[in-house]
Amino acid sequence: MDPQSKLSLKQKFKIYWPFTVSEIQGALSYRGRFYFFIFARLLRIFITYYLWKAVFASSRQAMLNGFTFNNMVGYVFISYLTADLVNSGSSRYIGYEVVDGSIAINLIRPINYRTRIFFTSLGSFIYKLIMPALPIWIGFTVISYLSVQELPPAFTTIIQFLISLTLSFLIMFLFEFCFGMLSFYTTYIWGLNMVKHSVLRFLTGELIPITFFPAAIRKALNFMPFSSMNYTPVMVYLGKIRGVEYWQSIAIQALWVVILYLLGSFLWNKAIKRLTILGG
Amino acid sequence: MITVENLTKEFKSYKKNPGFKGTVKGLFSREVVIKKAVDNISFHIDKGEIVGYIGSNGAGKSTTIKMMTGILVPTAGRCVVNGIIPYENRMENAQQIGVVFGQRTQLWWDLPLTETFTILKEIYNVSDQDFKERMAFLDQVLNLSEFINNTVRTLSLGQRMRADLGAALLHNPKVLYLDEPTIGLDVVVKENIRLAIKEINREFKTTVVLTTHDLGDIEELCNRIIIIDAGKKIYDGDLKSIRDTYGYKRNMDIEVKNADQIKAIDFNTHFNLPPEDFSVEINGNSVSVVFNRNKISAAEIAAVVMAKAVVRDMSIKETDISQIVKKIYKNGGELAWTRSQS
Repeated sequence: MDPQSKLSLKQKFKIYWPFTVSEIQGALSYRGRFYFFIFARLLRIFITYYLWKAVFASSRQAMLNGFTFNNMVGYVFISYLTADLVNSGSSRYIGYEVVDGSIAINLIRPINYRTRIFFTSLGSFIYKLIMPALPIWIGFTVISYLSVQELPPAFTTIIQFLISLTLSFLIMFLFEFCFGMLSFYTTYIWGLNMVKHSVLRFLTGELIPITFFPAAIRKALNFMPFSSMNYTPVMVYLGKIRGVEYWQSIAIQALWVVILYLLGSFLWNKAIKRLTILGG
Repeated sequence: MITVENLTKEFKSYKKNPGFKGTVKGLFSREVVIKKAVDNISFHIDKGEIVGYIGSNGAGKSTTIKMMTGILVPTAGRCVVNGIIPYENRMENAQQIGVVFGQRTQLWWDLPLTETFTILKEIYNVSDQDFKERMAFLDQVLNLSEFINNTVRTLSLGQRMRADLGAALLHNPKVLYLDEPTIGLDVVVKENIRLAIKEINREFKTTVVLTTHDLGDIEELCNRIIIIDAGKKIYDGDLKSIRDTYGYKRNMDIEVKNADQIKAIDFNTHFNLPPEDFSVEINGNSVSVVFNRNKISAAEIAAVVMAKAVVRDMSIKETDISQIVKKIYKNGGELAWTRSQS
């Protein structure tokens, strides 16, 4: 029996919250890396921005698949920010712990491994939100108002976006956890991670909005969790998913949270039996 | 406190064929190789015992510890720690054990040491009152306050090991597993760590299971040792008989300027010891002395040699665990005999 089932939510929170705090403190203690990351992110955003600028300039239509150029700029910025926020990289984290054997240290503590990884991811979510995401968002909003008089979305839209974003974070985390279980089997997960990263950037709509995909692929994607990881909150932010459609999307996101949670528990129970501690 | 019955752990690996051809072949068919890291081991440890769990590298020590701590699931057999099966109730078991892996740290690398203790306080649900008392005690035996505000990654190995031991003890565990706790430490720090372990064992009746390659650790700490080799138990009993038979042999290598000077010394008149306690072998200019340090000290031998000969270099080696294991193996107790039959 799980000895923590007797604990109240508040007590549990007190146990796991230090993992969040230490992740934030750890990130802050390497400040050089921190600034470099912001620079790298901005660079990527601008490369995509100029790419779409060229696409729209060479097209005769002002609108492509329901996107004006200004819409597209919004999409590029917001989707990069959300993709960065929700991607906690926990599969890589699990991979490292399995490869260097430090997972042993975490298993000798009376704590749930997944919950712990979740709170660690939460730490990275919070510092990324406060540090690169929020200033970049403010900068983007101010500049787009000054240059093309685009107003930021209404307050309710932002709230709706934040709800969807939170669900995206959960889905991505649970997916990453399931993926991380592979490292118990292959031991070295780095190569697989690279493949996953590239595929995800495509399928979650981080690179190109999913409406640009052929109809058959879009249909197939309906049965997969990927669009719920990034595309949904971005479209909510841009006001392209609203009303009844918004609640449908939220329901789908919530469903994926449940499915991936159960899948993760199942995989963990299988994987832990196979664990081989490497490095003595 | 701890009962281990017929515990076995197998690891599967894939045989790699040599060369390019072998690699290509490996892509299509893989040959599974099963290695028994722990092979049908049983023992029982009582509350308050300090048990040395020893064996050469790769003998299966760490694997056994990992099953007793609930990290690994055994292939067969079972173990029970204070009424709990560790690998089935990992979290419940974790609450009552403390573990130090000498080669890894459980401290939060990027944070000041004091943060680790605050975090562990929450994780193990230690009350404020207990926390205060425990910290005072740990500080007294491990001198943590010297560096408690330093970031963990800036600590020296000795400091880190003391801190790790402290971290494993904060919740006052019933069982303490120490996997090579003195590895890489200098003599003074080793001594401090050993004293702390003794003190904790006396104060709280903590059961201690210790793996080590350091005979000094065992001699100072353990009243009982279990020796395993290639996954099988080959000795389980008190330290004294092992010590009497094997542990007191030392090797002294002396390099002299002129071998004739050594040959002129009549050691028998000086010490008068039987050959099993003292023997000299001269090989060119280097002299190898094997002696029982119970009967004679290195200083006495050195004094005699140095009075008569010009010594260039001198070193003393103690018999290490792997040599002892080898000897037990060769001499063959009953256990060794059954092993060769199977």
